[in-house]
Amino acid sequence: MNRFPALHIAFALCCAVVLVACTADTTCRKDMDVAMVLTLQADSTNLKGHSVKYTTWDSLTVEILGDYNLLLDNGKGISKLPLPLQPDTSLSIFVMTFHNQTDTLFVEHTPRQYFVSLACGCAIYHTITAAYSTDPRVDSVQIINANVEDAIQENLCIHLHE
Amino acid sequence: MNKLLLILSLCCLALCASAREYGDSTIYQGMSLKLDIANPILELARSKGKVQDYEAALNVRLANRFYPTLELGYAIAELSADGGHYNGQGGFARLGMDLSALKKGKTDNCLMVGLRVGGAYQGFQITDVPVYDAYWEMPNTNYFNQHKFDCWGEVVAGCQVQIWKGFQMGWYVRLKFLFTRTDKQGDALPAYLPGFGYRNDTNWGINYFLGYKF
Repeated sequence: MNRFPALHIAFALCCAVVLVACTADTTCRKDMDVAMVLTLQADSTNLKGHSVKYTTWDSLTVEILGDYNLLLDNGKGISKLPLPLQPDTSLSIFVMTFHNQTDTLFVEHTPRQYFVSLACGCAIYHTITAAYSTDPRVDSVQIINANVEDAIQENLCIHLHE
Repeated sequence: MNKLLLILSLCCLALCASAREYGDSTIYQGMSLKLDIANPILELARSKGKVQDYEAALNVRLANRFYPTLELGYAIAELSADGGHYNGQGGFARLGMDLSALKKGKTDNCLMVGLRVGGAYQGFQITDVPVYDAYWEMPNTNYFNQHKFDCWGEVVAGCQVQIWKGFQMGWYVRLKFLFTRTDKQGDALPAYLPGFGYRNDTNWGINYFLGYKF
């Protein structure tokens, strides 16, 4: 038992050295990108009369109404399209041109500020409340997942007429 | 109520049996008041004094085996990261029980294992927080006058030795599990929890106590 105090001081010092080496993380390691992910479902009939499903866009151009920067310019083979929703209004309008025809997609949503951490700061998340299109080729716009909290999960699906 | 009385009676019986096992019929065998010196020194080295964590502990010795413990403290934290500047301060309390792991209960030196439940209430503010958006440019935001209560559990192990007359020293190593983990509403969360440490789901901690046995 004589060595007991010396041993316990040595052990406590070892633990202290390990703990001093552990500091708080000040750099964000989380993917903070948030976007509404749009997909396509289109049924068509080929030359042999068989029904064929299309899930990719060709010759697709997308812009936000009122914003003159193109989000996508003549994109080919697009299966998932991440679109930035407006952080300070509850309506985002996208002008989409594909197969030389222009479609306007309206998305009603509720933005909310979400504190992630001291290392990462805040992100703007959205809840989609409604989505519709003016294009007669569009059969429906389906909300797959109303919560927009990353740029990976599918949120909206556009169904086109045959 | 009956169940509570039953549990209390069983605890008393266990204490009496334990006292008899160690050859001492007295259940209450004094108390110790301890001051932690590890965390103030560690934080001087780790955060250059921007985090200050002070705590004291009071434990009662029962039947040479059981050590009901109350720990109280206060912490101040000032942190900066890519996501803003944090200022917070608040108090905490931990309540629990240690058990002497040595068979010879009569000695004043002992190894202990135990459990704690801790809670901390603090006020804090986070300023100059960037609002990240890959497309739109957003101004920074602030969270002023925020208050939060957090709760956690701990498994502790440590030892206590007599150094001179009634003076003691000892240490604890703590593994902490945060119960109040996430806030679904996305409200601002404290980056440092008094008594728990930097906000993680689990945390390690150490205390080095100087104490006096009454």
